[in-house]
Amino acid sequence: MNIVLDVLNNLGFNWHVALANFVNFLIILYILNVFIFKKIRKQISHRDGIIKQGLTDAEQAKKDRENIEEERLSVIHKAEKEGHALIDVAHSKGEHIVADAKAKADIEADKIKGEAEKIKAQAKEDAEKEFAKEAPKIVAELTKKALKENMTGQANNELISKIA
Amino acid sequence: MQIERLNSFLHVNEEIPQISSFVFAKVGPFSIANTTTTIFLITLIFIVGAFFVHRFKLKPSKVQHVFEMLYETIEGFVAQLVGSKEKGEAVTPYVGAIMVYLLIANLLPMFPFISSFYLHTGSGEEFPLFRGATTDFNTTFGLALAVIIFMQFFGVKEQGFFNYISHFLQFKHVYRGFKKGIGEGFISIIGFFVGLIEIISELAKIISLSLRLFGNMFAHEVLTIILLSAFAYFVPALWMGMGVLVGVVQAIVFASLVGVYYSMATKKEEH
Repeated sequence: MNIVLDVLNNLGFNWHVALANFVNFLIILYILNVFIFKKIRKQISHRDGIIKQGLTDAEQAKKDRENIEEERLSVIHKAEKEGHALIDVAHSKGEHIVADAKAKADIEADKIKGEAEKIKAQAKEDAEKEFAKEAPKIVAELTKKALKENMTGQANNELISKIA
Repeated sequence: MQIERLNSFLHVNEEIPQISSFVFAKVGPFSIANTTTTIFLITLIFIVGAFFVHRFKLKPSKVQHVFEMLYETIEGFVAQLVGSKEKGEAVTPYVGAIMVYLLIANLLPMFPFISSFYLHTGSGEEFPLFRGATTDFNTTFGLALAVIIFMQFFGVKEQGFFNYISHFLQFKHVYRGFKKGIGEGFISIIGFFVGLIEIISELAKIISLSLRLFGNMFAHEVLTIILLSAFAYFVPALWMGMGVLVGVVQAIVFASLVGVYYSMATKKEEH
């Protein structure tokens, strides 16, 4: 033990100074640990957290934007499809309407044509009947008139021969 | 006469520093030596540093960038020593603090004018007010003692009191050994004595840590004074440059050993 103490004395060991320096070191360690190292670590971690959150948010925003873009394209595509389908339906309906109208018009026209034919035939029949009724009178009248004005003996004979 | 003047111009006559520091005051059980005043000065520097760090902002300034870069370098170094990033982050405030403290303590005496302040005693003697903290065995011993106490604390915290103590007092291993057989029992007795040697090894760590640092730094200071007395210019400058390297290397070596001791103390043994 004495040898150890001798060695320590030769090295200038003084336990009072060693104790003071030990306590001072603990104070320094506390200051460095709590007020410098942990503060810097906290600041770096805080900033890292914000940067990581920012990156995550940016990634999420990118994904959302892509999803929205996909959804938009899908809606446009769907609308285009529906539009085309509507146009097709309209075309088809239009064609139907036109065909129906044409068919109706044809029927109507045929009907009118038929009626007109009927009226025409009736009129012709009526005219013929009238003519047949009135013709002898007219002929007689005309003959009478003609004979009254221009009939000579010769002409009368010729006429009679012609009629005969 | 002219030769004497030339001699005084070319040589610096300074006394070779004594191995023991100069004690000039006593407060209770504490003695205030001229290395203690250097530690006070270092404490003051760190208090100013703490105020500066307290004003750090989320958007860092250039100086803050430098501080953070240094911190991350130290953290990376410590993480490599202890083997994992998580452990590195947990232990950097201790190991890194020791490294920074030693860097300042080793390099502070090399700043101009630090050694120009003298204390005058009643008997007419004069002593430098600030002496390199690590050139005093009392400082390095106190430091090493604190480190080893902290390592025991970390070991107990990580492994639990009885598990950690069982590395030194291996009663359980002896019991288990004899339970298995006589041969195993005798081997476990050897293990028991190895455990006792581990206690001595822990104490030896205090001596080896403190003497390595003290020896290097004190030897450098003595050699600087000898060189100054031989050549006042150029050669001491080279040696002082070497001193910066020694100071930095010793700080790194000490911190590295602390990191290794931490790894050893917190390593969970598989049984």
